[in-house]
Amino acid sequence: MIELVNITKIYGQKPHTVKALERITLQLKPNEMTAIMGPSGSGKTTLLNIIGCLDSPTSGEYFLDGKNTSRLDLKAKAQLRNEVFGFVFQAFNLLADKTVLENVMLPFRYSRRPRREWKQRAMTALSQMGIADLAQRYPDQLSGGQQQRVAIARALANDPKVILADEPTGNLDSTTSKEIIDVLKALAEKQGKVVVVVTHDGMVASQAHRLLQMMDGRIIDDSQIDSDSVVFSHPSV
Amino acid sequence: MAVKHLFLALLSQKELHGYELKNGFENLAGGRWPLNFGQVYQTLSRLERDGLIESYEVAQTDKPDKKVYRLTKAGREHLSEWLKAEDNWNLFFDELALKMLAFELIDPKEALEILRSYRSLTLRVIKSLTQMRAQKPENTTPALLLERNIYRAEADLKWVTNMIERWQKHD
Amino acid sequence: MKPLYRTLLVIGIAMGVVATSLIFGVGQVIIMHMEERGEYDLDIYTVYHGSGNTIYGMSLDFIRQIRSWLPEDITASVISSDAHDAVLRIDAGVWDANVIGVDADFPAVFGMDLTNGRFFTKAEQENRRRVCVVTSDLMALFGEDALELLTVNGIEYEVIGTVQGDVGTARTPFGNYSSNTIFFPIEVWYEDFNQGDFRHRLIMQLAVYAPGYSKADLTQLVSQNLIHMEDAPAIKVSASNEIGYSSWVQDLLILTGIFFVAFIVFLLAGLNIIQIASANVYDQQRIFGLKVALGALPRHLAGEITGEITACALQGGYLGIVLAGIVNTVMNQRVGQYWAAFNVFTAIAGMLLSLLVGWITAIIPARQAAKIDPVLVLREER
Repeated sequence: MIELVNITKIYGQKPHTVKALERITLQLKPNEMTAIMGPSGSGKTTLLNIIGCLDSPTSGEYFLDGKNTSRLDLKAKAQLRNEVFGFVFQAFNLLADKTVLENVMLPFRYSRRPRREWKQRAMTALSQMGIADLAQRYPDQLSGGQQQRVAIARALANDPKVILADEPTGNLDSTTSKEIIDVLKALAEKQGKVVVVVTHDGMVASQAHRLLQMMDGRIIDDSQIDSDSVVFSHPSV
Repeated sequence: MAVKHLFLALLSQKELHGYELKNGFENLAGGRWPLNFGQVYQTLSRLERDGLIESYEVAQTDKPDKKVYRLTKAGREHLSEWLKAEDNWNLFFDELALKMLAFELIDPKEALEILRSYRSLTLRVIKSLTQMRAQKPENTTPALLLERNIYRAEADLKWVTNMIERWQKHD
Repeated sequence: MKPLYRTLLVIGIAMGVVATSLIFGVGQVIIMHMEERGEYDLDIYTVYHGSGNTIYGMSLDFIRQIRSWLPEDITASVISSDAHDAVLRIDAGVWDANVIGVDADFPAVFGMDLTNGRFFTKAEQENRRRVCVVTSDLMALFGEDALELLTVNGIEYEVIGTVQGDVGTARTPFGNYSSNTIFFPIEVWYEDFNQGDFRHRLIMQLAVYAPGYSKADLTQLVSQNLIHMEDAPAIKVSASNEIGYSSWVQDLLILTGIFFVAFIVFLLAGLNIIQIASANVYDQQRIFGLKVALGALPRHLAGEITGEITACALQGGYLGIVLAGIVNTVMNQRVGQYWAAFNVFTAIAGMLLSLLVGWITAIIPARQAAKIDPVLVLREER
């Protein structure tokens, strides 16, 4: 459904160019949560931005449901970001002066949906995240976990097919992180979305179906995460 | 070894009989370390032989007499000695630590495979333990046990991921 | 937009609107002033005693003498100086208006209509009846039904009529009697307001309506009689369109100056808005980046920025007009009414200007917002 072929991304002017991604070839399928791990500068976020059409590759092809995205103009890409992709960030990025409901309705401002549908769709997303009762609160009245749920609800509001999360648990404690990752995993398993999570948290990676390991702009490992159980042993006496 | 010291710790709180000691231990270990009665009584007799615990019989009406154990003074000292801080750190604490020493001597592809499967193991460990941890109440002994192992597995995941990166460069 | 920026923007725009409204108001008055020049009935002249920029005033007897030198087909009225120490009391309180003495022919000289009642007659002048006539703007202020009796310095006068009160019809070089004026028969005025030896200086001018006569003709008529007098005073004749000490050129200069000031104010307000809005865009970079990630196009962002600025502009405009109104009321007490025309047009001009400034200045911050690279601003610190 998402296919990247030999994607390369180079930043900067000669001679100070930075090769952020080098010949990335990758397919992503629905019903799967993929974790991307790697050190700083490995290109994880750049890859995520390119998948989400927020950034364009320097060379290579990106096919979305068979259509080549390099032929799309600014307006078409903005539309894709609005309708197909949902971004979730580490820093939540909620509007502090707007209510939770208004925050979740934000994507609709840039969509083609008629205004009368906005509130209801936003409330649906909030209910999905279990925080419908927080609709009239303001972000600064919520805990970190609740704020991230609002951010995910916002990403879900326009019913995208792909969820792209960049360190979504970076600002959360371990218990809340687990809850958030469970939510993202359920979006893949139960709603059939393509979920991609960039992380350096082992707990997050362990919950994914597939793990991509990146280094210096390349994918050095791409494997499914086994579901085989572990044998926990103890000393004999 | 571990079992022996934990029995002493359990007895430091109150006098218990064999069955209570078995259950007490298994609860502390979060159900992950079952004991059989043979092990229990073997440990208890050794402790008694070494003078760290003593026993007495309690008469019961319809059942055979119950043996109750308690700590001796020597036992208390032994326990507090055991609880003292350590200055030693085992560099070769698991099999992988030893296998690593052989990496230069074996086929690099094989070494990579070992690393990969260890990574898979740590991921699975983190996944299972995280799940189990979520079901335990905060700050109970079993929860603490799981948490420590999660941290350990995460640290090892970081390490093995780094190793895999370096091994790739090697190629 | 952060509350601080919003407040600064509203205040900035309000100040701009206050300044431009007042400037617009003053400008209107000056334009009216300039227009008035063309409107004067060229057949109206003023006969006065003066030299250079000084007016000496004349006694009633002397001005009557001058009147006798002019033919019967000329309509004339004396006009006294203003009785500054007259204290008027009406139900509504104490008022300050021009209190002058004139002849019965006063409205005929200037072609003023009566809107109510009548002017006093020559007979009433001779009989020293205590009557007075009020300009209609004053009548409106006092309240139409209220005024039948006017008390001045403790003496009651019967108000027998109202003349039209406009800006412009009864103006001479030495006074504007078109509005805010109470007319008394000159004899009564002399008796009640100016007893004693000052009588000889209190007639400022003789206003005449002389169709068919030129300024030269009138000057000739006056001087040929003065020749026969010993120590003849310098009697001058002035045409009505030689109004005021300020000239056309002076008015134009003031007007240009005023528009220049308005332009500077406009510019400063605009720059202020651009600066605040740009600071806001910078502060909110991350949020703009987020919106782009959610699918916003440059036109969406531009629309949001313009919308916020417009909302502030409307608030600022409203606030500015209220403040300008207060300033206008205070200035009216000090400088007098009509220092600035504060009317619907001024208010509309203020609001329109604030909106216009808002829309135009929004262009720059909108462009800045469009230039934001979402990848850059959404980057996290590890």
